[in-house]
Amino acid sequence: MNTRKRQKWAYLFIAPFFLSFLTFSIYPIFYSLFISFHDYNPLTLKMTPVGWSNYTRLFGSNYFWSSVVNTVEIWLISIIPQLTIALILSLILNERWVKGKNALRSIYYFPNLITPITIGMLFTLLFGHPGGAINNLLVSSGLAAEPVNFPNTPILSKIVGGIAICWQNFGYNIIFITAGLHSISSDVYEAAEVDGANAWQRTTQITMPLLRPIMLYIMITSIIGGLQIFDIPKMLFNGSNNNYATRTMVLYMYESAFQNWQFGYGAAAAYTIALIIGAFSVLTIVYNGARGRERKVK
Amino acid sequence: MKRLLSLALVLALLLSCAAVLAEEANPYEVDESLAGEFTWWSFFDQAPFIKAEFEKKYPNVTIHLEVFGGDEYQTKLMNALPGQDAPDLFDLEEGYVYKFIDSPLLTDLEALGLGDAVANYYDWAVAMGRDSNGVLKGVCDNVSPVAFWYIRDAMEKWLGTSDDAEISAMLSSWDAIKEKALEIKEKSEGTVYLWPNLGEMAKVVGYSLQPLARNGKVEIEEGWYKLIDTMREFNEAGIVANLGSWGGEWASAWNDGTLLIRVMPSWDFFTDWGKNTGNVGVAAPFMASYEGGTYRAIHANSEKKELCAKFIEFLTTEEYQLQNLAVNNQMPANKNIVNVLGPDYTNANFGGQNIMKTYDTICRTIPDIVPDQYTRGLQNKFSNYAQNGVREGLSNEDIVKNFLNDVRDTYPELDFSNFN
Repeated sequence: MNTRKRQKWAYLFIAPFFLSFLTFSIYPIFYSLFISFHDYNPLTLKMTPVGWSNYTRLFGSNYFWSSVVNTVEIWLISIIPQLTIALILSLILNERWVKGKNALRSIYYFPNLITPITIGMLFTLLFGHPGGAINNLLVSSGLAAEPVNFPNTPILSKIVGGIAICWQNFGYNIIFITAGLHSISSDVYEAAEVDGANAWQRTTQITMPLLRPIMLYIMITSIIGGLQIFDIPKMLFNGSNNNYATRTMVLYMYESAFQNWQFGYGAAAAYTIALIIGAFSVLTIVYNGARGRERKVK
Repeated sequence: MKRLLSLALVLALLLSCAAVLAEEANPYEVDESLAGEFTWWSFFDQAPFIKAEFEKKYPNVTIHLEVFGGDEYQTKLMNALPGQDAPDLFDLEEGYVYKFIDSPLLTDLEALGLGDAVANYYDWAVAMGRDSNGVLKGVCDNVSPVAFWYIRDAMEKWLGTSDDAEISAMLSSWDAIKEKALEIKEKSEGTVYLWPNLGEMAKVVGYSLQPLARNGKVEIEEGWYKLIDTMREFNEAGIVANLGSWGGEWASAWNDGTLLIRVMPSWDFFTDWGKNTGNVGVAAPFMASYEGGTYRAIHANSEKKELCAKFIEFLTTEEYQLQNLAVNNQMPANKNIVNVLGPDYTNANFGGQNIMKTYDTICRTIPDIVPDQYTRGLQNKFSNYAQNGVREGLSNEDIVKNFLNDVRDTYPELDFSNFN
């Protein structure tokens, strides 16, 4: 069979994927862009062009911008301990003297198998007011005189959201960091040992710099995923958290489109969110790139 | 011997089948002349019961029922209605019935002869099924009056009575409730609360005050400001249990008798009937209100409109609504039923109380306010801002300002000229 004929067959084989990709991914992306410039009534299928008005309304909405701030805050609250815990545990589990490494890695990964909806409900029960498990513990142990109102105190509800996301994802990051650690050649460590480097120096001078590509990957994926957080905040303190402290930008978009039926406005929010996430990702890449160059110069 | 044994077993089987059949006597006059099939979409967990009841009367009609749980039902329905795979008949919940009601995809039910079927309904229950031009597009089979739910033993202990009329008289104003709540808190040394939370205060007054948006214009009548003042008084007096409605703690505290009142509609499903059968009571609050409602609508493009109309008509009948009351404690929408049952009607689950009389009293006093797509949503927002604002020590002006900012963001199409 000549090359041209083989190419034809190849196109035929990849066609099903591309057809479904075009139908279910590319088409909705462009259709959403189209909707974002319209006032759309789903029951009559009527589209009224409104120009940029959905975007001007969105940019003028304090509630949207506060949802952006909420998202970044919850993400920061979750990502810092998440990466710290994942890194420390990965380093420990990478040591030869640790027994039952695989079992421990599996246990740490378990929370990632639980659906976010369940995690949201679980943390709502744990941090409920006045009689959640944590409050019962705090009051009975004398650490708090009266139950702490986690759901209705903005900063506390954000911290609870951050802890829930951290708990769900740190085990997932352990997998990546462990893969990164395994990819570092043992020759480098042996050479360092010969040169008299102690364990701390080996970690800071060899492991950490060589983990940079995997950490950059984790950072970018966690920015993309973290800024899209939706399900845990949606379920967390549902019905009692009325201060919008855990309303993230995707939750704002969801409420606009699917609760208030403002699909044009919701689509405008979706595009703006995509731009925000893109901007954060670019910033991370540029920052890491700059730091990498800085180190080389040194 | 073996034959005899087999014969005995077969006889026993036949006898038990006969006994079951005798127990499940059909309460309806069977009509085999009606035949056909249609599709019905619902979010309601009692839909299979309704289907079974209808099929008892009309055994030659097949209903293809699909029940979708959760909030996403309305999104699914919204996407399906304009398409080819739309159901012939579908349910709409009170929270979002107004989003759909003005759509041309809903059939005029009076044109299908259902106007007479709801002639004996409570007026407000019919009004909820009408679109903004007054066309009837949705019909319910039960209503959801809001009552003070209580545990009889606990009420006897703390208020000295479990009689619903006496309890209503004792709790006939916010001042009276506050006084009793203080008394109970003192007597129980803070272990028993009369009132669950600030939010349930809004449920009492919600439909006695003018809606927060009328004809597309935001208006806040004096009563809403008074509600905030009352919430503040209750909060400062420390007489609310602060147990969030529908939460596990709220339900168990009430079932255990450490929370005395829950403000809930007739369809309440938080009662532990295993523990409290015969020990539950409902009293009429001093302001009449309702919460929830299931409305059935027929798709305008359906070819089974007549059959669907027959189904809705069946649900409006006294015989079906009586059955629904007996099995599910659902309050009939047909106001004649209270007379059919008579003054001697009692309900064993409720300690022999004539709950029909209590609910009927509430239903007959629900003010003639016709809600629209903004009514429930704005009530909920106002209640949330009032509760949080009171807890945070905000003034009425600041609470209202925060509420209005949120409403402006969510519904920019409303007229805010009263507040510029």
